[in-house]
Amino acid sequence: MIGQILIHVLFGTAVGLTLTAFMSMRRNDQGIAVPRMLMLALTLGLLAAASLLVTLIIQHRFDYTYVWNYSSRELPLHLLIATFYSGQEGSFLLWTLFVAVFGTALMSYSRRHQYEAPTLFFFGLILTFLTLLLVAKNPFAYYYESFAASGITTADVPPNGKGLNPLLHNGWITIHPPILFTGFAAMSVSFVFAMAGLVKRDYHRWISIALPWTLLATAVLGFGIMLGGFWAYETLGWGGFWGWDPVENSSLIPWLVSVALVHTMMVQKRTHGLVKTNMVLAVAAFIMVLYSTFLTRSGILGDTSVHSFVDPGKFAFWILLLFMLTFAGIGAVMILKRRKDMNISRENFKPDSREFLLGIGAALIMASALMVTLGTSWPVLMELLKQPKIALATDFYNRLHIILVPAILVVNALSLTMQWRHTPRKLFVRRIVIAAAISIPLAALLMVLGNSTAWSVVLSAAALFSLVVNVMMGWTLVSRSASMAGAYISHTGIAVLMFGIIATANYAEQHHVVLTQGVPVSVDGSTLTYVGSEQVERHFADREKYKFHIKIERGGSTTTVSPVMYWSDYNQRQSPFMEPGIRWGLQNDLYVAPNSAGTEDVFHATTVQRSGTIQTPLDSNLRVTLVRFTMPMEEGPADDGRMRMGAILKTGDSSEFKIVTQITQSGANMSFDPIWDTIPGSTVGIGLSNIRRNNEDPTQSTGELVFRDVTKPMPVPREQITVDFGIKPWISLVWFGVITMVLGFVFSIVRHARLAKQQPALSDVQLAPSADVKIADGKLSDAHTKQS
Amino acid sequence: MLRTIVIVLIVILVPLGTYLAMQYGTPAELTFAEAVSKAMTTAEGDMAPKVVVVSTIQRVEPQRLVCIDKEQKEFQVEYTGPATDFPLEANKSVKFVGHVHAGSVAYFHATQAYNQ
Repeated sequence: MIGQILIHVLFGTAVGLTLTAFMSMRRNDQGIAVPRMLMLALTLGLLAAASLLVTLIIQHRFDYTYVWNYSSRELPLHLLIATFYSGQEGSFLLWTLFVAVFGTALMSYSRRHQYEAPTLFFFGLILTFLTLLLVAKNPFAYYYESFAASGITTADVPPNGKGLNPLLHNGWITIHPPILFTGFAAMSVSFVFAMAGLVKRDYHRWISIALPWTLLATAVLGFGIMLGGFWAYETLGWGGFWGWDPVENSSLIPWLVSVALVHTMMVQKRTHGLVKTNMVLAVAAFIMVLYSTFLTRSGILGDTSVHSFVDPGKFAFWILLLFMLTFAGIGAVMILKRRKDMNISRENFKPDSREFLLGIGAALIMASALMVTLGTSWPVLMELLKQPKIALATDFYNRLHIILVPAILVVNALSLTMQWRHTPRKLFVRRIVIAAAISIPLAALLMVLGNSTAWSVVLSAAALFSLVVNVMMGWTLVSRSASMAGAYISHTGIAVLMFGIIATANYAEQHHVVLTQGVPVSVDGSTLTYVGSEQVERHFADREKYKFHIKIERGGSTTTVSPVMYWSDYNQRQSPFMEPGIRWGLQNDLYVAPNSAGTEDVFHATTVQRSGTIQTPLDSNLRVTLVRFTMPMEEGPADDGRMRMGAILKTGDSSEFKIVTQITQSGANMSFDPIWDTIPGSTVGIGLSNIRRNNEDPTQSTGELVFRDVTKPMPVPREQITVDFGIKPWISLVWFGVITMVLGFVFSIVRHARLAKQQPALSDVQLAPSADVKIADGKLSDAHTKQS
Repeated sequence: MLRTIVIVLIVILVPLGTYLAMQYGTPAELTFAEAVSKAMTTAEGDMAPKVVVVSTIQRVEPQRLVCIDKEQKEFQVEYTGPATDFPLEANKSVKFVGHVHAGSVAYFHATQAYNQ
């Protein structure tokens, strides 16, 4: 009950924070102490709610629906804690908490820059919607409340929870979602500062104030996205790290907008241009976080993604929609209201300036964001048009990005060879010639080495050009000041990432291999030997988990990888969960993804339908007809109590004969133990190894017959595993590229945080007066000059 | 000039993106036999692609619908999508979206249904 009351109190506090901050904003920060206190109280309250939920999970309080739905007694501590954000309710709580932490952490920062009241107001408004979502999707709802319609009462407490999806039983779940939610929460900061700038008519200073936070949000979200890719690569076994799935795209879209924003903010900082663009992008980045949340949480994309979606219910659906539309509306109204004021800084960039090319680069990145948004929203558009909806094939994204990514890389490189305002032609030509002289031969070399498809030639040439320019220009700057290196390090990381993508897309190989225990199989220069299986995690009764040890000999070295297959109660053991075995390497990864496991078919298992006739595998002249099945009551139980069934068979000219099988039932699974017999007049042994009964149409029932040569000893089947064996060349460049990119962001954050400290106080800045007043006074150009 | 480039970019990309989305985002309309054949050619481990089968419901049975497709071939449909705003009853023409579950008796697992 405390939890539910707490959530409602938090919503009330958020409303109070918004109202008092609004009043303080209208009265020039008078009474700011109240919203300041409410912000702090809200953060502490959210922290208490989060702690309470974690405690309930650890204490296995299955009388709470959320705890029952996502955790179980079998989970280790780190996964129990991760359960906190594994469901919609918990993840909303985590996101809300992080937004509140950012709001609180920024209080003194925004106070220093005289932005406190509007900052608190906009954070308050965001938190109002987030806490309202928590009211709708309350993580503290009781089990008996959720299932009251099914007659559940307070006395009915489940003994155990449903548990966490086995695919999430991984260390990455403790890192990836919190990082992603930190990125989502940080995305609100640039929006809040942009709105504060609009409120205060401070169209330039907000850039310097918000830039370190925008960089932080971009870095954290980018890192979180790539961690998700790494997790998928390491755990899911499909061999890739990016699948253009709606859930992946929903994080990528705000990240792309934020990357564009970072670049246009740099332009405004240096030139005072792109004022409105920055306002629009700051709003768009935040709206895209909300839109992505709406897409992935509203249930609207269900049935079009490999991720699972839970319908949050109508109330939460409308709150999510209202949340997004409210902030889109606020952003649009604020920008439109101030558009004339912001026009004063408008200027045309010269094509030979860095700002011009950065503008084009940002436009290209936004084009990418727009296309990914279009692709991700396609099922929604189709739903609105009452048309069949499916997720777009990955080719849609790949084809568009074959054009966009090289263009972005080239524009990035060209922009760095330019100077702000104007670039002397000779200087520009010299830089381009040097970069081209290095990158073109390297691209040609890659072509000789087999990089032959048109798209990969263009992409690798663009990535090489970008890499060379960034290293060249970065080196010159770093020798003067290391703090300036951030952008160059990040861009270098992106170029390296591109090489990883080119290498894996062009040269990765995959082979479908059936491995029999102890039998070496040569595949593409490697020799694979299935050594044997080992059951692990035996102490968990809810799963049956095996490691399959596979020895790989390649290029004189030997390594063993251990892909995993397991059956879990989570899906009633209907189908196995699988994890690949990977030999990590700098040059290549050896990737073994399991498909299925069993024993080799030494008994020539053959399926035959009732009344059907087959040739026996051991003697093609011998034909067997399955006349009918005999039922358990007809056969009676075996000596050990097992159920028995049989099949009446007939050979071409002989009379009928019967074979019997003994059945062991375990839950929904049945295992068959055939009693061997010999086909009359032959040396062919025969057994009944399975019966698939068709209750609706018994003539469609089938049996599985097994055969052996009775003159030879009984063969002993060996274990077999079917795997996809892949060689992933230079995939390490993908991870290395992302780490380098994030490292570059860290440099930039430190630099711009220092610069933000040097910002003059608001009172010392000539703010843009209303455009109407300026025009009336004829002071338009003066105001512009002073502000510049 | 920057503004002009941005406008040109939008003018080119939006129709191009929409065209490509229509190419890659419209499920193929097949007969049941064609859907089965498509499912058979899908790589092992991949889910059969989602397709549309225009069907006429012949009879409604518990757990399944018995339908005929454009070739008048009978097949079974298991519908697990949201409730439709039209009745799923005999003689009704419906556009089912889903994929084939191959096996000894293949059937069509539909997750969307549209009034034909």
